[in-house]
Amino acid sequence: MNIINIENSILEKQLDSTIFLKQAKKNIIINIINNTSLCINLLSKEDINLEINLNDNVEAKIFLMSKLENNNLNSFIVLKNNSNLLFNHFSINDNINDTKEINMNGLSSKIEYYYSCKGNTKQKLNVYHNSSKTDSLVSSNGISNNEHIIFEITEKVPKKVIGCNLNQKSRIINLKDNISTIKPILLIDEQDVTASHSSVISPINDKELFYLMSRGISKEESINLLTTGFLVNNLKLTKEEKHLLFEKYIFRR
Amino acid sequence: MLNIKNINVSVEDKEILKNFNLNINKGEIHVIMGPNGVGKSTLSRVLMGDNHYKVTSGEIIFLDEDLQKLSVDERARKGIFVAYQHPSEIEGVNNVDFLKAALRAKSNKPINLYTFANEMETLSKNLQLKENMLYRSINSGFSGGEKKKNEILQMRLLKPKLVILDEIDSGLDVDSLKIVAQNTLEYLKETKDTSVIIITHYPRILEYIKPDFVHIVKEGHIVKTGDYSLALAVEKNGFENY
Repeated sequence: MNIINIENSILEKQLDSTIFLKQAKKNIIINIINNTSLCINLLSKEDINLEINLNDNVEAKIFLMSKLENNNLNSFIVLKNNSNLLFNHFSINDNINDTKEINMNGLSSKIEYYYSCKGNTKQKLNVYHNSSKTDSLVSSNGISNNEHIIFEITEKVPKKVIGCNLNQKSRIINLKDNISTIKPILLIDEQDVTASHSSVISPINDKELFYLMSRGISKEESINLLTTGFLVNNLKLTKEEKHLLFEKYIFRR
Repeated sequence: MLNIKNINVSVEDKEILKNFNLNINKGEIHVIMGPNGVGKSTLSRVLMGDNHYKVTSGEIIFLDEDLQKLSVDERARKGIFVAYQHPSEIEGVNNVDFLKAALRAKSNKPINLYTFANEMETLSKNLQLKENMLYRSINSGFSGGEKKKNEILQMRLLKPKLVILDEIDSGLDVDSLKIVAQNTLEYLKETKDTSVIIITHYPRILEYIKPDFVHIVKEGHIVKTGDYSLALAVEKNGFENY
């Protein structure tokens, strides 16, 4: 697995020839030229701009783990013809603007985007279906413990871009009586498109909580098991990636 | 071990249990039978501390402690275990992590992973549960029989003092019922002081687990107490005579 580690502006990498990396201060450009998988670990209190480009016919898996504080993470993703990206993002946030723009420029390009976060977050995601037969699945899960989480997810299909498939799922669990917001926006100017969306904001499931507690597990630990399961289960990770996530972010809370 | 004194229980202002009394000593097996909707499963929920069920009067003493002062998890750690009629499916929390957390909570210390793995392997073999099920989300995608076996696996691992089997026999085929009953019996042999409440509609499971007392519940309280022959009479004649 290829690895990029960015801790407070210091970048370390272990990359093979499938990935070409450029860094200029806060701007990181990742060009993926062949099938690959990449894990990015990002710890930052400063703004970061991330650009990811996938060449024609490339299949890539990216797993971004981040712990962010009072900053902006701006991501710009471009998919060319027949490229296919599985993008998993797990983030522990404290007052974060996470803005992503996904440009599906290539014919039959496909993205599966899974985002799980906890903490004060504004996720603004724009998916532009600029070519026909493009396919997007966007799944966002958030845990709010008295913080404000906003998911604003916009997908656009212009006229004459046909045969696209758009799926959007967002779910936020509020652990306290706070306010969270989901804005699912589908702007479609073409008839030949399949689209679906679902959005749920709810408290923790009290039946599940009761079941765990009825086996002797404290309320705090039961909530921890349920919320961790909710966040991790949303991501499509390999065993190795899951291991990394637990080692870096979950056991070391 | 358990003394339920004259309790009244309501759900959303509807009274379900009325002046309900039951005394269970160590090592006794009690059966609660009755038609639908008389409050049999309410009893298990009340004992476990489900806050949807309000005890409006009376008291419940378990091992010399007022049960109503204990939270759900405290009751479980004190030794109460309910094998549910409809166990929750919890997506994202795998069985092994859940069971480790439950064991840690019970012993209040880190668990020995080698011992845990061995015990899980033996118990799942005895229950004819596929080993990969232990690494799946709790009860997610399990058949009805597998869910019930998973409840029994938890019971054997957590070693409770009072076991409440809430319609454990419903939805089980003949072979699965035998496996569940045999595993329960094995557990009772290992822990002779453990008491059991079996909530059921039918005496099928009692062919394997012989009860000391059979109680008929109607209109929210026990109307008749007898031995195993009472269960057989119910099967023959129904509940109308009580």
